[in-house]
Amino acid sequence: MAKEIVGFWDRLEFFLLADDEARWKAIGWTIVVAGVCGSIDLALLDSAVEDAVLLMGVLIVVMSILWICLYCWSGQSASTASDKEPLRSISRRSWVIQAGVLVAFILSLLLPGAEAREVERKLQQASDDPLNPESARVAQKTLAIAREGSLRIDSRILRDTGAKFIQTAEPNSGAWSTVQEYLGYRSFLNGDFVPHLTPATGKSKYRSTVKITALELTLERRAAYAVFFAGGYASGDKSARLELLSNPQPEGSEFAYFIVDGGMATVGLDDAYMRNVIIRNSNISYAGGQVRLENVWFINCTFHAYVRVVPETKELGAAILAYSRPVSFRNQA
Amino acid sequence: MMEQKSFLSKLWEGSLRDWLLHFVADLVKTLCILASLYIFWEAIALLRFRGYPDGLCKKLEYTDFAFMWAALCVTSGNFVLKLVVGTWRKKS
Repeated sequence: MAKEIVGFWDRLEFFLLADDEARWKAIGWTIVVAGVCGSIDLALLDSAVEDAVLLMGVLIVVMSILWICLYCWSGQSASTASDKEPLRSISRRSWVIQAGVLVAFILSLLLPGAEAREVERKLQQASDDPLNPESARVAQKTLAIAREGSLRIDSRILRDTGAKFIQTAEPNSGAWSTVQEYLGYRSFLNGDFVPHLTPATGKSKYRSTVKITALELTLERRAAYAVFFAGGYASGDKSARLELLSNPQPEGSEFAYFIVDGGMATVGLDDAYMRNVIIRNSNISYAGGQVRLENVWFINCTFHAYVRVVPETKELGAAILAYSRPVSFRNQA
Repeated sequence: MMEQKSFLSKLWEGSLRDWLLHFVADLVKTLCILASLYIFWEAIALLRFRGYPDGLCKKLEYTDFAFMWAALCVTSGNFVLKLVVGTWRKKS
């Protein structure tokens, strides 16, 4: 026997639990109106995201309440549950649309992979003629887009194509800018492989030193850099070091890792002795001086200050680009 | 002779079947909307990769964000209301 639908609450229950057609009409219109208003606010009026979100939230609440009230108080809703078949079989058109969306969704999952292959192809083409300034420009632009779009390309292709630009860097100044972009992209890729460490607590007599070669001057107030321990205890010869070769410390830090978080400072590698160090979000400089790096990770760094083209900087560049992700490099100038 | 039905089959033929069918239908529709917006997001990434102006891609991303936010709010609200009203009406 059909259930009688009388009163506001019965209609509300019917609307939410049975009347799919009316409910999805309401959902669709609410999404469209809120989405269009939010888009106009964000894309055309350049409002802040918080303001647009607030506007959309208010619109959604108001529209939902109005729609439900109109449905429940007007005579448009069904008078009995059997008037509208609540469990109609899904129409063929609906099946086709849903299957189409599913196929398109699966295909779109493959898209980042296809884009990454395209990046690899462009880099290989550009590296075939590394002396050509146009090739250098294309490689730089491609790597910048890949980094911005979080596209992950094969590390071996990155190493091999980057090595060609490193080899031709001296007669071709454009090639070195490309190498800087390569190093930055490599450090972006390293983010996927860096060990996940929890900050360590405790004290150490060890005095860490970071060499700063430049300080960015902006109105924004940020720390120059931050250093902290991570990964727990490690015995003397296995513990992390972050010091200057010209001012050596008698023993290791007794912590497994140092993490250097970048800020406004450019971190200089000349004269540095680093062991088990993770350098994040920093601008890196190196001019070819003495350096000792053991198991050093560069994560999301930039290398804009890595400007001098000498054999030592080329060697370190090749080491960073090499397949092994943490860098170990030594130069005794 | 009367056929004895188990508790589970009684439950299935009673309210569970209806509830599950409605829930699945709503879930599929919700996933379709979210999947469409994801496809749009990937299409914008493709445009950016193909070298379309950054300003245009940014505007399209804002549009996608707005629709995604609205869709997530409304569809999750639908599920929450379904459960709340369903439970409350069952009790009363």
